[in-house]
Amino acid sequence: MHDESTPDATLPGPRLNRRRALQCLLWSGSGALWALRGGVPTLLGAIGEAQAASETFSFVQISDTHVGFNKAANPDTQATLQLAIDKVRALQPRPTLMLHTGDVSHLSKPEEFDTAAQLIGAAGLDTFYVPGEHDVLDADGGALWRQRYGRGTQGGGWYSFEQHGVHFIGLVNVLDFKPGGLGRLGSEQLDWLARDVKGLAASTPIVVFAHIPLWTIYADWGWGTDDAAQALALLRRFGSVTVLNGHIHQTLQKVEGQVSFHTAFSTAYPQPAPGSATNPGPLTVPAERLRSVLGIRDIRFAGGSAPRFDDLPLAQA
Amino acid sequence: MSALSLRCITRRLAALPLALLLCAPASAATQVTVLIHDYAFEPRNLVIAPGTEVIWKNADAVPHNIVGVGADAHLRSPALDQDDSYRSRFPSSGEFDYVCGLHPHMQGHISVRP
Repeated sequence: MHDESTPDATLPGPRLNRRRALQCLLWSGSGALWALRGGVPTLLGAIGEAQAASETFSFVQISDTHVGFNKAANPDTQATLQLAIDKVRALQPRPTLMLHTGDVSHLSKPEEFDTAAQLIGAAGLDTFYVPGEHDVLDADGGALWRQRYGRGTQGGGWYSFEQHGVHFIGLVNVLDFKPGGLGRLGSEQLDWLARDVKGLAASTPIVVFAHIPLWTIYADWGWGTDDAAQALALLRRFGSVTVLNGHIHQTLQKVEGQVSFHTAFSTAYPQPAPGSATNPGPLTVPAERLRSVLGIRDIRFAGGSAPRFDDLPLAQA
Repeated sequence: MSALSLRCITRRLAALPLALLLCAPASAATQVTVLIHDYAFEPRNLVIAPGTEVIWKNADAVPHNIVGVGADAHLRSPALDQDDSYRSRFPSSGEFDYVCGLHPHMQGHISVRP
């Protein structure tokens, strides 16, 4: 599930000061909740509705690090992952946690996971993982992944946790593929999801993260999840649902009602736009352009309002 | 001629005997190769004689694997990186479906006929 961060004295910690205390301060008036941010009052929502609105916080998404890949599209994926982690360390304010939306490794080799853990651990953040299909290639269909990341998870590795009033749900949709099909959650996981969200207030902000997109972007390349609609139906009653995915190595967004969908940069190599090539294989771009098509995502929650997203390439084009 | 075109032609030539198998009746050949290229098995449908060994060779820059479907689930290769290959012998007659376990839209079929 997640790695405990290694404390790093060189990194700024979440120290409480007057400004931060003011950021956290809530007061009520005319049935609304507000917070002070930099001295500017911000509407958080109606009283009784915004239990989650305790303070502003941010987190980071990285994806598709593919440690072990060394082909023409990027002969040195460790170097670009290192750049990504450097970028994470430089973020201000400091993120509370990091999500990795899968394909940590390229071939599920122990040494690839070891290298990834070393590089990602340097961010000094609690990091929460879900597997990509490249992480479950061992003979036992993901046993190696579950040994490393499965503590505290259910079934094939799914789980949830709370942070600052936001309910995070890590889903696994890279097991049990069907011929000709897309990603798949399966009935066991869907049943668990129904139980997991049953007791939550509708005002609870939800963040779902999984490897393969939970909306069908391009079925011919397997860029979608067969039973995603069943999962999204369970989340329909919530006022704010954010879905974060990887897999397609490019940023795309879509909004459907209260649900916003976001795919992420890879830190390893880009892939073609949906349907723009004969296959979705690694896209080789001029070396000087590579870092402009790789990156990380900074996500900032401001209490009960919708989160703000910043997709940050490793370098400007 | 560019290196890319040459490589492409080389791959196509490598797959030529396989393509002929598509049109030919069951072959007595003891070894045939299925090329994995451009996210597809070439040929997708293969007809072989009992006892034939099938060799899958991955020419793509991403890994693929071979996973039997349904009753053929015993057929399972490790992940094949670029230029890796995997062999499996088919001793008896039958129909065998398989997919790439990473990219299940890649599907193949083997008919083993006397």
